[in-house]
Amino acid sequence: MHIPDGLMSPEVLAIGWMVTLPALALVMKRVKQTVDDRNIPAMGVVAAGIFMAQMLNFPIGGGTTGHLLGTALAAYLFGPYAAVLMLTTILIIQAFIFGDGGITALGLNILNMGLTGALIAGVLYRLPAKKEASLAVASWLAVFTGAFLCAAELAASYTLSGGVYGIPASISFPAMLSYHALIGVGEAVISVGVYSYLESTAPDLVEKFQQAWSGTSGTKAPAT
Amino acid sequence: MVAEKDEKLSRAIDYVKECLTTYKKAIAGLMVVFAIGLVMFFIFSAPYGDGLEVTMEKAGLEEPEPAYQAPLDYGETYPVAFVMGLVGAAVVLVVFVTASTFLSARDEGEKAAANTGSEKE
Repeated sequence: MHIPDGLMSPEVLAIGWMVTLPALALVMKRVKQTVDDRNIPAMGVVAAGIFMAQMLNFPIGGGTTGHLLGTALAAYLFGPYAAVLMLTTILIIQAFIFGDGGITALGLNILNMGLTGALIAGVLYRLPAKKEASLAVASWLAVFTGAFLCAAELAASYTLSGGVYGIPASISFPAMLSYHALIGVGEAVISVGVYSYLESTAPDLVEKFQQAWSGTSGTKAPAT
Repeated sequence: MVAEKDEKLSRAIDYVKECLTTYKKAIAGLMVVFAIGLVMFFIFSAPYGDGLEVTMEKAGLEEPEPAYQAPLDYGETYPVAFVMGLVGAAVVLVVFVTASTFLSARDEGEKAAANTGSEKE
């Protein structure tokens, strides 16, 4: 779902930056308040792991593939602000070093793949439900909502540019949403698999990460 | 200010070293999973586009010219992709650890100061 340069209209690209830059400024401020310095090495390893996982597209049938976003998983472990910082770092390096995703579209890519998923995960984490179950829903929603935004951006670009940029809504919405509904299932399976593995092999570590940003952990009731 | 920056930079270097010592088993595990996952990728997924690329194909669009030429790409063969994955992961780790060390607070005192600052605003 990495939007390349030249696909979206200048107006839509500008809106992407106008939404993303203030949101990133807020995230950077909140990182100082919520991120425990001692967890930074673990967060770095998880960020590196998400980068590698994003290279491994998996087939969803019909000659289409998808890849992990990792936003919801990162948010469940280290909090939504740290997750946005992780995904922003990954997306910047993918764009500037590997040409994966456009430079001009970086604002939209951070919005679709980082900010949206982290916001959804941050809300769902607080629900009084089993963490694996809510993570599965958060992961699927992160992908589906990101795809919905991308489809809307494509449709808006098409309309605003008179067909020079973007894709008509009649194609962008059905295609993007149907493919990403399936990719979201893969995202949920991988995220819950990794989370469950970490919880079973290093429960103290997961608890320490979650306590640091939320004051609660997956195995304990939220603090009142 | 300069002393604080130097202190944060030296802390970031310590954190990167800590990644390579405390989490060496996790890093080795990630490399093994990546090595196996990449085999699966080349068998099952490499010829196909992702959801957005297939949507673009459906609309009759070709990949537009990039506005910027990146110095590297992921590679077309297994060995190149494996090395690029490791290079990218290492860059992500170093950049993320450095950025978050500069952005985060070291202890409760610094955190409290940051919280007080934001309340005043």
